[in-house]
Amino acid sequence: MQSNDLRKNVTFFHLTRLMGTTMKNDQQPDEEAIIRQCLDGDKDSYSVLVDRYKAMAYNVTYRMVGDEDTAKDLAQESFIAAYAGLDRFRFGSKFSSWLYSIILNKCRDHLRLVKDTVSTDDLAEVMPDKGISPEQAASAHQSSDVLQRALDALPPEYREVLILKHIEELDYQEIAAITGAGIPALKVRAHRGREMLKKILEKAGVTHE
Amino acid sequence: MNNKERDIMHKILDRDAGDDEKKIITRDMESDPGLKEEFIGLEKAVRMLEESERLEAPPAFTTEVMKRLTRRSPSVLDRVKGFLLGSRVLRWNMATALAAAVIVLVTGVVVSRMHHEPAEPTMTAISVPESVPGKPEPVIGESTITVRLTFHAPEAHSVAVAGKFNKWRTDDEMKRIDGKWSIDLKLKPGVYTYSFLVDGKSWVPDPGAESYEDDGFGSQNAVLRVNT
Repeated sequence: MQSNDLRKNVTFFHLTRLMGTTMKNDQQPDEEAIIRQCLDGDKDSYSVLVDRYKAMAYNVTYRMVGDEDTAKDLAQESFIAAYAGLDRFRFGSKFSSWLYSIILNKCRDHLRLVKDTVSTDDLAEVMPDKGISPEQAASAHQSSDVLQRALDALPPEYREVLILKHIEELDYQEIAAITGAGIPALKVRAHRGREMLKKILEKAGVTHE
Repeated sequence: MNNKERDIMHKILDRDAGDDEKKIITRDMESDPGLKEEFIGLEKAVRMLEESERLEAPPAFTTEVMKRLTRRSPSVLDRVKGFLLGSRVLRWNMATALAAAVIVLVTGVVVSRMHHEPAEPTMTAISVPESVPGKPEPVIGESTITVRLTFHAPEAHSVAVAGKFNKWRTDDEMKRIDGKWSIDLKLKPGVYTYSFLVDGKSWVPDPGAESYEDDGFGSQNAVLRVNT
């Protein structure tokens, strides 16, 4: 029974995500009109876009930085920066893609400031040893957020690709447009990121079902 | 596990793998428990990401963002475009309507006075009585003096002025404003005789003239003295 409920929830979860993707595509002309209104000085119109994407922004920032207050600040700053730079928005492209890139830049800047990461390229070998400690793992279990702890242990470049690919469910083409990286490089990052994540989760006691 | 198997596993996780590749990895996993364990571990990690909890944005998120926005100042180009192409809605209340009415009224009075009762000249070219219908009103020009002749004849259809200054031509039509006829003449200092031709047939000496003299035909002409 429990298993059936879980399956239903997962199916519903995927359906809503798929619907969300479709909605985003349909909303493009509407969003362009809103952006033009904002550019004409109608500030209040912007609240429609904030309402539409606030959950996405907050989820991405939270998964990137792992702290709710910081995530909220970064998400809000991202919207403010997007509004200030609306005259640089390229009509014909998706507002959500543009917003994603601003959000990621905000997160990168923040992570650079707090210097809680190690350099990217030689992490494939380093990360298994840098995985979370048993104490951290226990704490993570208690907070029921093992995944977030594991993500926090990944370098930001890998973390952001995994978030965009597997949480936001974007395709590599869109991720490439957002991050400015090439698709082959993104696939390598996803590949390495998944392997690191798997090792960290195993260390944290997440067993295979 | 070789590199090819590793690549195929990640292609499957990226949902990029073809059926042939899936068959290869399925076959290889049957003979290699390590490969199978690796793949299950990776799949588990991906599933955790895909099924991770979707958080709601904190309360008042939008309100807080909107409060922190600074109003955009449109570029010059946008402003010009908006001015030329933007649609407008007139919004008003009684206070602004009254203020607008006062402005219109005052402007109307000022404009009306400019046309009907021009300002007093700074220099008087001739001396004439006040408030007479044909009072000449001189205005100083550079080398000549502009004199305005006025004539009250509300019933007339046309009034022309003829005199010594235009060699008695009758084509200098006066302009009618609210029943009052008016014309500006640029004259050098001197003494000029003149008369008004009403409706092209009746000669009327200016009733407001300072003086008159006989025209030699049994009638009189007005006399205009233009002083420096």
